[in-house]
Amino acid sequence: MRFRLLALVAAGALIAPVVGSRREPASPDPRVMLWAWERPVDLLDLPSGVGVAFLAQTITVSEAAHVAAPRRQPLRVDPSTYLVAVTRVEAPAGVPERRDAIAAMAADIASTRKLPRVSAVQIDFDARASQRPMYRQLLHDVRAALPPGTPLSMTALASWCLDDHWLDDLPVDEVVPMLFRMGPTQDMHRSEFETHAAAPACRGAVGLSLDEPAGIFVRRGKRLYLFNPGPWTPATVRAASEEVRR
Amino acid sequence: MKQLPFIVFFAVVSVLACGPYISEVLPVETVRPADLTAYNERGELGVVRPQFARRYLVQAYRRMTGREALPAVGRFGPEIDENATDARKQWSEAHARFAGVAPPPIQTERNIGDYQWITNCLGNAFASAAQTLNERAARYGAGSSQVREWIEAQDRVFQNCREENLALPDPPSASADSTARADRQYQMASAYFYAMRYDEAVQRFRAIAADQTSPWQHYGRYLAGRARLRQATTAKELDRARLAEAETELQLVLKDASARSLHASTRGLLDRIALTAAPADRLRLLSAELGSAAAPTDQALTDYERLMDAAVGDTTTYEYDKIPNRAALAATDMNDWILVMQGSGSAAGQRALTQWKQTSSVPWLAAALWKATPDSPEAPALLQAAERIERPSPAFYTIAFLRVRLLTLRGRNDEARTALAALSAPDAETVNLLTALRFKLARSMDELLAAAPRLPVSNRDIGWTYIDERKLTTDPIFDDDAGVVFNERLPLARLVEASKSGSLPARLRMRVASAAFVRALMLKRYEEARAIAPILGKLSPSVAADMRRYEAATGPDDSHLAGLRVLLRTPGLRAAVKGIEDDADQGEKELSRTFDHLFRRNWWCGFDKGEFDRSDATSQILRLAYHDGDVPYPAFLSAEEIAATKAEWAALTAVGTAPNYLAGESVKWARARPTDLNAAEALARAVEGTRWGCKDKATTAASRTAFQTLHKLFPKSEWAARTKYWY
Repeated sequence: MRFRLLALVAAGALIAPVVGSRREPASPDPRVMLWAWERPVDLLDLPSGVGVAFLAQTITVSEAAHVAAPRRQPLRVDPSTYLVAVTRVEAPAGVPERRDAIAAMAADIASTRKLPRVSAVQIDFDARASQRPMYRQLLHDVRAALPPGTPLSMTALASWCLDDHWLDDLPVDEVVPMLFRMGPTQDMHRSEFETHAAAPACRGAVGLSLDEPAGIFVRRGKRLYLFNPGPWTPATVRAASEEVRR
Repeated sequence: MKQLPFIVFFAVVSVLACGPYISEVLPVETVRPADLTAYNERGELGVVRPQFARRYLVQAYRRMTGREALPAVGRFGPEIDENATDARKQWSEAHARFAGVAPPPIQTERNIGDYQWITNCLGNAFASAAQTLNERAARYGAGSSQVREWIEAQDRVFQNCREENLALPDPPSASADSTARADRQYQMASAYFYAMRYDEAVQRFRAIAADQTSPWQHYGRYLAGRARLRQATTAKELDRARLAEAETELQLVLKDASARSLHASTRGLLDRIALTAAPADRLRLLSAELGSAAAPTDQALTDYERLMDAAVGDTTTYEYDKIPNRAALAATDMNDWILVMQGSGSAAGQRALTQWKQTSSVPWLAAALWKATPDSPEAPALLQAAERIERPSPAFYTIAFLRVRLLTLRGRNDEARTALAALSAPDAETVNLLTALRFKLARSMDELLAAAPRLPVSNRDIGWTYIDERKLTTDPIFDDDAGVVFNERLPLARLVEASKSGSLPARLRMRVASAAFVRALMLKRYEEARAIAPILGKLSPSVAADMRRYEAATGPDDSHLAGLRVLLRTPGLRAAVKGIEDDADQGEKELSRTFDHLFRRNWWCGFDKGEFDRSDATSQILRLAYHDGDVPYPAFLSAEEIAATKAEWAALTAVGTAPNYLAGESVKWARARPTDLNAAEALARAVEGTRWGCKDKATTAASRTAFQTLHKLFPKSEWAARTKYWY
């Protein structure tokens, strides 16, 4: 596992305020969120100020309906940890068109807010251009189904934040551009993010992967989501903390 | 004078709206063989690599030790349980037929804490319910009260699949016969089971097992065992006492001849208990079975992979020294071998040698050859043993590849060439691997060029995108060994020679000629550029006219400006020769005359970064064919040529990124020839290049200067009118 990213994190002075004593109340606005995907995850020993965005379910949609597959692997976290429940949406063969089908899907997504100690909800859907009207409707329905004041977050392809403006009026509190696994556009997109070109909706957070070179300066005030292609273990988190203390 | 406003920037293009969707075109796969059908079904191994996923190494071990191929290697469990879907449908149809309505919605998943769900109600529960309902309808009559009550009770049972609160069926009516009463006892026990009240469920299932009159009697003990197993494995920590109870209960089922129909399923549950209770023991048994049994089950392979993933992580690369409980994991020869193959570090190499010396077996010979270093004292013995492996051994191509590789590492290149000359490969991937060795051993430019192109064997989706199935083209490609050599290990004169030669396929020749032309211009070696110009004109007719103008230029100054003009008009003139390409690269049959807005691969980024960085490359070839991934200078280069290569590289590195260089040169051109309208065109194109090319901190200043020069010296030109912004 390479930790080149951690040098970036240190450079961005992101972690300095968050490495400290744990067992403090959940920060309402953690600066660092760890994405915990579908594998057994033990994050009991997180530094304070670090939250967890965990895959709560995967919804596979078709033109007619959707199937929700909930998380199969355990996630262990301290009760004080700030939690975001993530729903991954897969649409291999079209998306629902009927309003009631979209609303039913929204209800399933909003239901993840009821999981213990979940503070916010995030949707991870790499929608194609033709699927955007449905996605827009879905976001409105999820927003309506969530208790007032619940933060709603969405991930975004980097290109959504650079070359069009369909994100501008979506009913979300946070857009997380995923600046990793971008293939040949990686350097270009990162460079543009660094040189202030991202859409306003995308300026509050950024998603990076531990196994890729940072290549981008994470500005103070941005929330950093970290993806780890390997397992999060107490040792991994400890190593990360040690790195950022340097 | 103005900079492009943000708002305009966002409105300009939406071409990247989603995706882009591209895939790398590979000559050698990464963690699996390219030809899965041959490998999995016929056991034709090709060259077995250390970083293969474990299931492919299982196949390799079996074949190298004389076992039959294991087709299960090619079968992965279905992502969707089709049987469960069918069973739900059967239940819905039976319910609708006899109750007149569809069943209430049933959620089969249940949260067991720690944000984890299990499938609480499996498909066979619905199939069994549908079958029972049909039988009771036949017995009592479709519209009978017994059937109606049975359906109501069953709906209550399935309510427990998801809901937290226990939902129990009503007791049987006073007039119910013994079958209806037995059915209700079974439904009550099932309700407790799905409600995760396992102690109560076990008690009730045992009572059913003791009831000689119940049609459910032979299910009783089996379900009591399942309840204990579920109880043990859904506890916060594994409950070993309950697991032991489950095993006892299920062993009794195996002794019960009347429960014969459940024996296969019971054995599966006992396997699962063994896997859960004593994973190391189970792993030993499974690896022994997979390594030597005539026909191991698919489940054995699945369980083996699961246990190995838990033991060493779901990765194919790890440090051998740091494998926890390595001795226990390596209890069978096959597993020992797999850990050594995948593990890194000198201890893995030492273990391979030790085992090879002890066993003289083919798999250990392969492992020892993979781990051998050039100065290994055992290398001569390994090479002798390798020479004795002949067709039709399934290990033949693996050992032959490794023998040649080790010979090259030890400098015995003539022997390596002789061995290679006798080899012909059965599949494209093996062809590519052997060709890579020929490339490495090339004694002349002709041999190098003959061995540079490879056959595409795989498309690999990259980027954060969906995977689109694409047709694999047959258009030859380079691998990263060619990328390194053409970019960093050959002087310009050799690139010119390669461009003139007809050995390379046209598209690849165009790539090399493009790099040679750009480098010749940057190094101000205009005669060499002039030699390449007609070649590029022929390979890419769209640039032919500009190339002819370049050829006609005389003297260094005119040649320089003519070269700049071609460059500025042809953003597809790249300075780098890419190794692994994606399908967008592969689709470019001509040098692009327009800017690439999508990937922004225009000209070059700079010789000290960008396209020359292979730290995240997918290519396997540098690791497989070279020691420590280090590609040396071709053997036929003279010391002077190597020195020239290094000097040229240093000079090219100093040039920096293309947009800055071209903007700067265009400004010089305009200032030197302020009435030359070609300079106006150059400035305009240079400014546009600062938008779409590779940028750094100096780009904006370069863009602004070129923009200002254009508008100051050529204010009324069409080029000034077309250039409204700097970037």
